[in-house]
Amino acid sequence: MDRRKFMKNAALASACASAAAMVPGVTFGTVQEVGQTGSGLEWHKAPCRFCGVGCGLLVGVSSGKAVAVKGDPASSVSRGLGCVKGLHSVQMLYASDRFKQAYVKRNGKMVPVPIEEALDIVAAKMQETIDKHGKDSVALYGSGQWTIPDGYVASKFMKGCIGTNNLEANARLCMASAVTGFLTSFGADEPMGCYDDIELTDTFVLWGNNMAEMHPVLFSRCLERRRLNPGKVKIIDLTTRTTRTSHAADESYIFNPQSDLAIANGICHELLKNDQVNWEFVNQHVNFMEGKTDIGYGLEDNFKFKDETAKIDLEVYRAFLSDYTPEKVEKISGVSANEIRKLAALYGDPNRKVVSFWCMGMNQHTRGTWINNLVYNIHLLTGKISLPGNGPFSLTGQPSACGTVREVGTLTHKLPHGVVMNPEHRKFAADIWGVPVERIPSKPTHHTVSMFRALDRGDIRFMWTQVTNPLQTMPKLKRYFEGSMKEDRFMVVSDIYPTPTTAVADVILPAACWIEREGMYGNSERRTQQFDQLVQPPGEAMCDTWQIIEVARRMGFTKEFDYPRETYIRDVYEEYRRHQAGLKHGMAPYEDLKKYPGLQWPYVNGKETKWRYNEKYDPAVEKGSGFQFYGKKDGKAVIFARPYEPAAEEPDTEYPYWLCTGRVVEHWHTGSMTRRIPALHKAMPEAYVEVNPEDARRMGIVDGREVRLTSRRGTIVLKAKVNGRGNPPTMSVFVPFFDENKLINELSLDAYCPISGQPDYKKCAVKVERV
Amino acid sequence: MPICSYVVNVVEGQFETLCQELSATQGCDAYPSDGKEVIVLVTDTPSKEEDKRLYGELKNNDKISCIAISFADIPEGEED
Repeated sequence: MDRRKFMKNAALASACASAAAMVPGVTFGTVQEVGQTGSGLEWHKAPCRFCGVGCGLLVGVSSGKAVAVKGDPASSVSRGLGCVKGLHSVQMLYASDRFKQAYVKRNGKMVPVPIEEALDIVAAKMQETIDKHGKDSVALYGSGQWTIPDGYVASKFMKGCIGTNNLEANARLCMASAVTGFLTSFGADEPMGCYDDIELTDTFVLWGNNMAEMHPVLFSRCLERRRLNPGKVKIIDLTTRTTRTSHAADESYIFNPQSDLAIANGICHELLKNDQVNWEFVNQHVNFMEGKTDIGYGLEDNFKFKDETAKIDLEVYRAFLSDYTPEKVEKISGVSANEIRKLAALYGDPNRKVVSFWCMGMNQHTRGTWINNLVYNIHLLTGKISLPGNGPFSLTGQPSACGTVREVGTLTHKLPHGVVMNPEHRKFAADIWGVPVERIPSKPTHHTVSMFRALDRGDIRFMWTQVTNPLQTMPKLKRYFEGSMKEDRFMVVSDIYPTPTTAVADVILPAACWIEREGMYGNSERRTQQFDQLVQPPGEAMCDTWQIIEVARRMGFTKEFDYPRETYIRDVYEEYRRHQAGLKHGMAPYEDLKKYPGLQWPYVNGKETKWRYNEKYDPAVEKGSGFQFYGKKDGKAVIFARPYEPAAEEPDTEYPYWLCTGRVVEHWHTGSMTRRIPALHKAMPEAYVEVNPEDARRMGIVDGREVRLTSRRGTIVLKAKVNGRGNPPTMSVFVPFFDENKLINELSLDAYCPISGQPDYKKCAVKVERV
Repeated sequence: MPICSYVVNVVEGQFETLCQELSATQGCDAYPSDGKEVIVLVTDTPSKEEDKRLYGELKNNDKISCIAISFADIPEGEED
């Protein structure tokens, strides 16, 4: 079949699959004829490559190419649905500028080399850097798009073999505050509930979460839940700008940036004042605590912070909340006192089930850990937690931010089970890895911002990046871009397409993507999803797991990485599973994962656990205890007194506008994949700046006119969007970050939550000028 | 030479007429569904300009209630 005929058949198959997703039961008899001429598709399951929802897809393969996608009706996550990105996803594999071979910089130019030679160079350079500057001069920076085996071999290689904790992942930029929130409140990471809560709840409270664009399939489940229960089910949108979610919500409250801290405390104030507290639950299962205040923003190099927490009693907590009466919260947040009371009444209504959802709005926050704690407080006070239809739920932005970064533990302080600071955890990991325990360092080194600062200073000289694009996503980008370009820095980048990060590489390793290799992702609801290799990667492109294995072997770690090529994904996964064995985090065996679209952990005796910490559903909970937050030694969760503190940088006379950054529905992350899908690129070809209509009128800005944004760190010119899909309040603007030609992170600030190390991409000060 | 495909929802009562109209349009292959008022349309045009013109025509067709792009293959150098 010629290319033209092939593409036409692919186009037809794609549209038939889209139609089937849009109109259940639709068939096209005439298309059978085309099938008989050679376009017959074989359909295979795979989780979506993009966000953290983990939609189940069926990928249509024909003549060795992935040509169509449709929703997998067997997926409990997406139930046959898919979003615009997922349903176009296979096209991202086939853009013309795909890396098919390795490149090495020689005399200032990137020249193609066989991948074996490139891997030799990577191993040799890594060893040379260690010999010259020590183990902590090399770093590996990965991603929440790493599959579980990618992350596992990365951890084993860096921590167990090289002997450095210089391992981080971009999930630090999107999920770290959720992790520290869970750990401080419950002693164990990841949500206690699951997506089934959507069909079981009466109330959705979305905290700074534009779910309609960021998690469209889950949001469509929320909308369907409301459609089937008119008058009862409510969607409440707490936001800093009007979005598509706001339009779909029953109520939308716009709050001043950072003031979510005050709102959450205000709700708790009302719950206590009106005695809408589940005292039986609180008395049995909760401790009250406080921590340090005025904790800084991490703006200085080598900033250090350690929280010190102490128990308090209910009366101290009640007194703390006296600063958060609805009237006081109104002054801080701009949300009226009556609206605060209304929100509290929804949470406090004993006949109403409530799920709180959030994602980057709460996590990319200089008090990200605190705001996570504070939303947990509301659910703990009301006892609306770990119950079907009731619970706080942190959504994720990447397909395996949970499965790989959080569970495998590809962060500086983590191990696959536990943390590097704990000698028992180190011994446990070392025994499984077959390495001397003393090789695993006991001190964490750098979180992501700190790691890139160390690269700039020269403390780190060699950095290998896989499956992510930090030189588009780091805040205060110019510093880190220039740092990576300095002499005597060696940058290795594994990717599938050219990006701003590959632009600074000394070696580019072509990667196999998604269904071009086997792997597993873990989504937001603790669901592990396996996918097979369905098509061949192009040219010499190689799976990221295998790239690390090859480099490790070249550096002498052959015994530790003695996996046969034919079965290495299964073998690596089964080895990883040993770290998590037990009632609290048992993972499904490989053979079970192969059979189903996904399985949730804790997976015990062939059974998933939908709600953790609740005796009825969770086999790890001691009998007779009802609820047990077993991450904490005494089994009790923590209600934290955490105050409102202002953002690191606020608008002033020179820079009078708030800048918030984020995503759009058409593009995923830095757009390196979705911008190569013609339909998505056509729909959203470039980044823009949302300007409030009143501000626009005052400055004489019309829709489509160029506008200059300037912060203390950089300047950028973008087209204005006035009365577009989103509408910021006056004196604030919004810019998406998907466009590599419009690097908004040159303006953003590298302030971070001192507890989680996660930067705040949602708040800094800019000035806005008509060009 | 762009190749695109679309899912076309039809204005009530116009299904037959629209199927015939699209089938007769240069560069269009129309695939009617069985028993539902949905058509899958594959377009094959000689240039980006022609693709744009055809898409504009389809968008303005008053027998079409909604048209959603599903697939686009625009050879190198022809993207926006």
